[in-house]
Amino acid sequence: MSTPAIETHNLTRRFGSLVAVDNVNLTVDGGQFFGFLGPNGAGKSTTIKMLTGLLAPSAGRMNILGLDFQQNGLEVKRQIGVVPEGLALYDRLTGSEFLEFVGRMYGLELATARQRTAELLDFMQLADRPKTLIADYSHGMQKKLALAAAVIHGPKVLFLDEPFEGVDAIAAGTLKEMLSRMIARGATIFLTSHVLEIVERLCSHVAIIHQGRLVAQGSLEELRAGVASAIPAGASVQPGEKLTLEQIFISIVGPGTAGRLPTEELSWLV
Amino acid sequence: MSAPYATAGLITQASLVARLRWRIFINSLRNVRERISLAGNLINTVLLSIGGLVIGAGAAIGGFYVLQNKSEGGLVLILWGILLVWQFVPVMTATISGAVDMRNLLRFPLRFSTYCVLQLAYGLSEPAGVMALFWTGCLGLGMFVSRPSAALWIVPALGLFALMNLILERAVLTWFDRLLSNRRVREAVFVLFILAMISTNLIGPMVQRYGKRATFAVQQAQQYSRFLPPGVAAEAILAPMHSKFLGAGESFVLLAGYTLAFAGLLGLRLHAQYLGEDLGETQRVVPVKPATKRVAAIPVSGAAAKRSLLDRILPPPLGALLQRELIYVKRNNVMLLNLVLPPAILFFVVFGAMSGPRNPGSGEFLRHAGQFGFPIAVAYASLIFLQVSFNGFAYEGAGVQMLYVAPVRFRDVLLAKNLLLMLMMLFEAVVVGAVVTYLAGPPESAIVLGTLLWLFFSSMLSFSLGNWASIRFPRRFDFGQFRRRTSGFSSLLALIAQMVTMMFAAIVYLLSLLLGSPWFIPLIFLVLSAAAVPLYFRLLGFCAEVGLDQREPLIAEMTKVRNT
Repeated sequence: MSTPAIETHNLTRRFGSLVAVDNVNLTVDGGQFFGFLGPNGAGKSTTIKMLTGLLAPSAGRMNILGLDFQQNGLEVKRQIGVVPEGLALYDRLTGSEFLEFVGRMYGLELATARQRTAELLDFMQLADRPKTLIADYSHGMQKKLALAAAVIHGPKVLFLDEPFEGVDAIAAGTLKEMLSRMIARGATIFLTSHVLEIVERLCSHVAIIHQGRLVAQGSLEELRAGVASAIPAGASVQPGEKLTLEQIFISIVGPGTAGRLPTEELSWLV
Repeated sequence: MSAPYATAGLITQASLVARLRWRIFINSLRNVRERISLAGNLINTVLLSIGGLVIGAGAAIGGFYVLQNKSEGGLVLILWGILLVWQFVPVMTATISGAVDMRNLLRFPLRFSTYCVLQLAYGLSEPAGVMALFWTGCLGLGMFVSRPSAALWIVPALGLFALMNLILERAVLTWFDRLLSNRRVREAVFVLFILAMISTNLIGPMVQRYGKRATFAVQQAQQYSRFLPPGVAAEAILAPMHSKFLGAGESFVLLAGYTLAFAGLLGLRLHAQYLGEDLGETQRVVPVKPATKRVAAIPVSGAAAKRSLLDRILPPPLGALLQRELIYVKRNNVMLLNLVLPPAILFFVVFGAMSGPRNPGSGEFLRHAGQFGFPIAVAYASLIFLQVSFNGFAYEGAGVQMLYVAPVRFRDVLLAKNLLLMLMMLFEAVVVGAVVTYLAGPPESAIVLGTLLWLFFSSMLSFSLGNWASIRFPRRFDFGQFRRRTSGFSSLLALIAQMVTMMFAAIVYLLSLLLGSPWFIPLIFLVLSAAAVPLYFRLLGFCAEVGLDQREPLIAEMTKVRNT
């Protein structure tokens, strides 16, 4: 049996008395496009931060590509790429200066870093603004640059925290194209997103976290099968109809957290 | 069914805005750091108020005498002073800390008149406006005491002058919005302002050197300034004393004309804002270029070739980190200004002594300037740069996360930051040495060597403490903002470290005087530096561990979104 790309054992993170991530046991096999979902405040970002070294776990273990993160931090970091929540950009550098810097931080030779910088800027359609500071980039351009920085060293596992948030359709298309190519070449991608349609279209496997606990994990088909069997007869889903990820998500997490309004309340709203 | 609300009037909305500001202020005090900051601000306010009171007393005395002597020139000068403070300081404040954006209020059903009144009220509540208005009052009081019968035209003339200033200040700021919404222009304005402030030190020596021609130029300027608001206001006050009532009337009309013209300019801008114009940086539309053909790989330029030299000297991550720090210094006007200040101030002090009237003291000063100037200027530079080491992550912003996700030892991150400051201080020492040599002859070798070794020893100690403080008490600084809000504890630690190293320098210098050998200084600091190096590296390792432990609060501070 091959080694999972990402594996956590009882991963826990506490902030004082609040348990943000509670004994999470995740397994992501190599080559999977893995979607990590959950309502706001469920613990998605905390988990991804722990998996990428931005936050220390309170308890539990994490193995990336078979390496224990706590024991082999530097080696693990060489093999992974990250687009964190805040994008981790130095806004007073130009795009090429930033990519070159990141490449060298990951140990690339200067000539290689420069070559890849040029190729990535070209691919992301950022090459025609060589002197523009990142501070003056639009949000979509910053996202594309952050993704370019995350892949410049050719990582085997890529972590993306809300990569499509605030990105227009054209930029999103470029990002998806790159991610699909990576998957085709055997990389593993772990992403969080609120846009369930995107996750449904891109991801082969999904996990759902709710109130810090992992409440579902598996392929989309497995999740569909599990949820369909639990839906009572006479529900809005027709027999034989394929459940959408949104229906699966709401069914697992519960409509209360999806922000449904009881009809009697806020009656003064027009 | 009728709507369960009434239209909120001007008073209601203005009081709501005032209450909102108050709540924001109160809520900000939940944090201990903000409470410490408030204490500092209160001390600053008290000190500024004392300064303001002294200037106010000066304005009152000035007002008394200009009316006694019917000195139009003196009155014009005082009024110019008030006008410049009223107009210049708010622009400077907006440049360094960002103006409060009143446009946020436009989401509410606000009448245009209410919006205008709120803008003017805000202008009147700004410290510079309050101070300038107070000085205007003091000036009027002094004039009233001098000649109570003149109150009839002093009060309306000064009242109109104050109103014009208030409207002009708002107009300047709103029109400046176009400029200040652009980060680069904001920074350039700030640097120009600082350079202008520094160059005022040259006025004294210049007047000494070009005495008669300078006086003539001032007289010419006075002639033309008669038609500008301070001259017109002075004319409106003094003309009736010479029974020139027609002239006074004309001046009143002209001053009212200025006020109306500025009100028109202000109204134009406010109306544009009211209709939804937004020039804020975040609203700026980035021009979309048409799709271009794929660009070829970027050729290696001469500058890039230089950078590869850095790569050959240092291991790759350290080289990359140092290079990034260097680029950041190049793009940080405040840091560049820090580089300019020590040699500039040294130049002005020595140049001033050389250009001033010859007296026995200045000759003695210049004879020793070569020996004292170098260590003092280097020590001054070290005060600036070593202070920076106590908040070393200040300009990282969200990029700080890269330091944790990349396979880099945190030790190298700290080392790169320390190396940069060391390089900058060495650069300063070279420039300062050149300035001193040019103006007063070369300093003694023992002094140069002793100063450099003291700098090294002092840096080792400060970096050791500064690295720890940078991680434990980080404060994010924004580019182009001069506002120094380092944690109170870090500032205290930096002060103690600097006092200790300065004390070392003083003791060693006194001992060298007792022994009669300046070479005692480099010898002692060589020994101290040798002892400080292993301590520094031991503490560097410790700080790297603290850096990993404290990654969460450090990232949280650096990625915090600031609201003005």
